[in-house]
Amino acid sequence: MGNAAVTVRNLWAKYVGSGDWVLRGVNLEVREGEMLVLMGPSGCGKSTLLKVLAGLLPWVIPGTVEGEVLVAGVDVLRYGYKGLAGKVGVVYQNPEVQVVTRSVFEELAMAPENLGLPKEEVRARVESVAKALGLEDYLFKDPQSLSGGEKQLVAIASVLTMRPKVLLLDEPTSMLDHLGTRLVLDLITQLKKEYGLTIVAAEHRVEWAVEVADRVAVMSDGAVVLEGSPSEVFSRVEEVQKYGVRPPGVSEVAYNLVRMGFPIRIPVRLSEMEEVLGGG
Amino acid sequence: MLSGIYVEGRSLFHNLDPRAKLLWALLVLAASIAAQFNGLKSLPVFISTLIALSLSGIGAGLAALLVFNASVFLLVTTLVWAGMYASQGTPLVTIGFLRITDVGLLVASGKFFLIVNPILAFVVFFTTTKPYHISWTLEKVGVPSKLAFSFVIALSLLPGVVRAVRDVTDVQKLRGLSLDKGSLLERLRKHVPVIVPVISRLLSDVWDLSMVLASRCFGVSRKRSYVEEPHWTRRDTVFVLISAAFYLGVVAWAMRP
Repeated sequence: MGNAAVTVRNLWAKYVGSGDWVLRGVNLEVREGEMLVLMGPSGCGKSTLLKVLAGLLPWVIPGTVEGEVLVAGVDVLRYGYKGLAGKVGVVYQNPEVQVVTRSVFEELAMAPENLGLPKEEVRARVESVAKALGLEDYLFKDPQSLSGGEKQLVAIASVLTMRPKVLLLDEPTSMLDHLGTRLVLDLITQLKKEYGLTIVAAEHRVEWAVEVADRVAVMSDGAVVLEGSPSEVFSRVEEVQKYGVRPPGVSEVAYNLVRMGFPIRIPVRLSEMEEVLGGG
Repeated sequence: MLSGIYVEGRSLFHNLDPRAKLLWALLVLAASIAAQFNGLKSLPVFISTLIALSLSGIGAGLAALLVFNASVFLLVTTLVWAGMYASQGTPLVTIGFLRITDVGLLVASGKFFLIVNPILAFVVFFTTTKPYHISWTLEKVGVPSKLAFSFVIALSLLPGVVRAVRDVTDVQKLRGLSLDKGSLLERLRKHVPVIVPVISRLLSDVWDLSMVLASRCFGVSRKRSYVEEPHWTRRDTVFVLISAAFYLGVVAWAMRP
């Protein structure tokens, strides 16, 4: 891993009208090419943290933010979302509101067009992203005719045409069906493995997170309470559960076995469970 | 989300350069203003917009709806303007206190065409021009990029408002709300449970949209680039020349005493 792509120091944030701080002294660091998955129950501050990282809070959403936030080398609290233009891509929960134009081509071209890039460059970026993501046959379709999962793929593709250094994903599968979820999670895995993008994702699908994430941060009540590799975090089953996060199924089974007196280590992946049970 | 009122098609109007269509709509407006006191002189402009509607390929249903709504409006303007000019000209019809004269009828129809002609012309423009190209056209005529795109967004949200009203009305009716019973005041009061959720839903959509647009670098560059730019062809030149000759002819005719 390279230099820090995201640095958060002692971050406090709240919205206008909310009496209490929503984020309370968050500290985080994500290195270039690393994938961090934020987990925690609803209202723990995951989305708010992503809004601060995207330069939206307090620049688009009124609120108060204190601390230090550096994303892709930009002082976010000083320059806001405009300072991050082209450097950070954000994907939200609801695919319906993220698909805003009449064709997939227009959708993919929108961000680089807004950046004022030459049209040859915009066209080249659209074609290259569409090819990489297998969206070539969709280019001239109306996005409204696509399924939820396909719309979310288009939403992700439309920020990739900016060639961002950091990708922020705010529960991108929470409004999708099983097939759509699979489609989106496979794409994020591909982006991580093949393109080495720095990714910060809020996602509650824990089995997927332990397979692809380099690190997991569990949030509770506006603070990061557990942080480390998926193995480090989810082997602490009791603690994870205490903060409202469901550990992987294999970890729960192993934890119950430990409580029954079996002296085994707690795995977080199915492949590790095979090793544990097989004595390997 | 931003589909607007654009109707996909391959009609003559769909294939024209948006600048040519905008110029045509402005000529319709100019001719309608010039002939607003004489419906007879404004009638050719009205006929031309009906021809444009039929050539725009927006569908007979929508066109019929527009013309029907226009005829209701004709009745209103006739009553208002003919009433105001009741003392001028030769009386044609007298119904109770209302006296319709030839002058009143000409003014009433002129005022009717003043409102209806530009509406029909701009309906043709907006239904045959993609929101993407409306934004491009506005920028080409000197509107700042941010303002041009904001205008397109505002325009494009209109069908969303209609959809939201329909959805919320259906839901409230299922809950037992009867909107078509009671006095006028009572009916207005009954619309509150429709209006409040619609506004709340629209605010939420606009809020989400603003975040999506901010994340897609909206307004970052002073000048937006466009990959798909329309091209001005000889067909556009011919269309503009014929339109200019026709509508400026109407203007000249209308200016004559």
